[in-house]
Amino acid sequence: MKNRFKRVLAGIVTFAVLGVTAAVPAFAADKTDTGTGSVTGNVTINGSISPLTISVTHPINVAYAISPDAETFTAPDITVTNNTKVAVIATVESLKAASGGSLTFTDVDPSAKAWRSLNLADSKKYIALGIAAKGNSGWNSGYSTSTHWAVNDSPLQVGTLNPNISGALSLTADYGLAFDGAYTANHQLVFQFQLA
Amino acid sequence: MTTEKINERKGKKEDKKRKRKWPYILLLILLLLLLLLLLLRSCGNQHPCPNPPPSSSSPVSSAPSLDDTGSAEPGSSNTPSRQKILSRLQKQEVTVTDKVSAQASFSSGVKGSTGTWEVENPSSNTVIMQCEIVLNGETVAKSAPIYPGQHINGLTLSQPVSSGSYSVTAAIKYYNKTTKAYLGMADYKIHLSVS
Repeated sequence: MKNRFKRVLAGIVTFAVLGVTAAVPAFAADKTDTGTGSVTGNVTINGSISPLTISVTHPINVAYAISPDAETFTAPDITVTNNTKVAVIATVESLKAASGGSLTFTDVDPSAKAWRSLNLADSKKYIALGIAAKGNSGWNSGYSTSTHWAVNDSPLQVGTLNPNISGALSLTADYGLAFDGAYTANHQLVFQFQLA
Repeated sequence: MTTEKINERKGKKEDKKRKRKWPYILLLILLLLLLLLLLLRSCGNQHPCPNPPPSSSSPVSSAPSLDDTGSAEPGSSNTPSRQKILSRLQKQEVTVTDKVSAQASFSSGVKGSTGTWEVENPSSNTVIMQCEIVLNGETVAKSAPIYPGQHINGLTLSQPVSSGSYSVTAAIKYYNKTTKAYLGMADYKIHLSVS
């Protein structure tokens, strides 16, 4: 009985030793460097790098209000927050008048019209809407201070935002005053983000 | 004779009395007429009136009268403050958070081959996302709709792409969760790798 037990134990130990010996080369491609004196061994280190996730929080629609009596244009700031681990570049790719409201404006240059003299039909037709980065709002130095007018097709690279930083943009407009009712109008703003 | 004289005198006296009364009677009639006129005027301003005034369309109408029912607000009309307008506009604003992998990779550029690309629509968002990879103005891959709290790990090539490395645009379109109406879009510059 004792002999049988010993034989089983010896078998287990033998299998374990053989298993470990066989398993080691599977984990590491070992190479034996031989020689005399100093021996050089080259070790290759394989790195595997995953792509970074770009994460940005931004509005997808922008609302504004025109009060002709007070001659005021009101729009909340457009805030963009970079949640990425590194800095990102924000670009205003396009800002265009869009359908969907009770009025669909035609974007024009701010200097194209005598805004305060526009009649009823033209007040309901034309607007000069622009967007610009707001100073001291999180943009890295070197951000663009120019205004991107909706009438322009070329994108405007606004600036760079560091990780966990928010930058703001503000809307500006030139508009007529002759409105004979309450109207709504839409503009579509498209941002482009990329790693800095 | 004397009685005749007395009667004559009496008659003359009565005549004199009657003559004296006439101005008073006339004055009384005038006063009554004035009173009647005043009554008619006041009737025109009050309702209900037994004899309503003629309508303004009538050619013989007098000056328009005020309908003095109801009451207006005191002071000048007040337009909403800038702060009120701003808070109303801010409520209309829809903000999203995108999580987009900076690289999409395909082991083959054959149409229909599946690649890896991670996009997440965080549960804090209130919109549906749908992503496209645009190479030289042409959509080469389009994801399934990604609802809030969902993500994708990969997508399929809808167009053949030659092997190589490209700088492409990942366009994310946003749709209303209930109406499925298009809301807007944002672009991300990413890297496309095709083996």
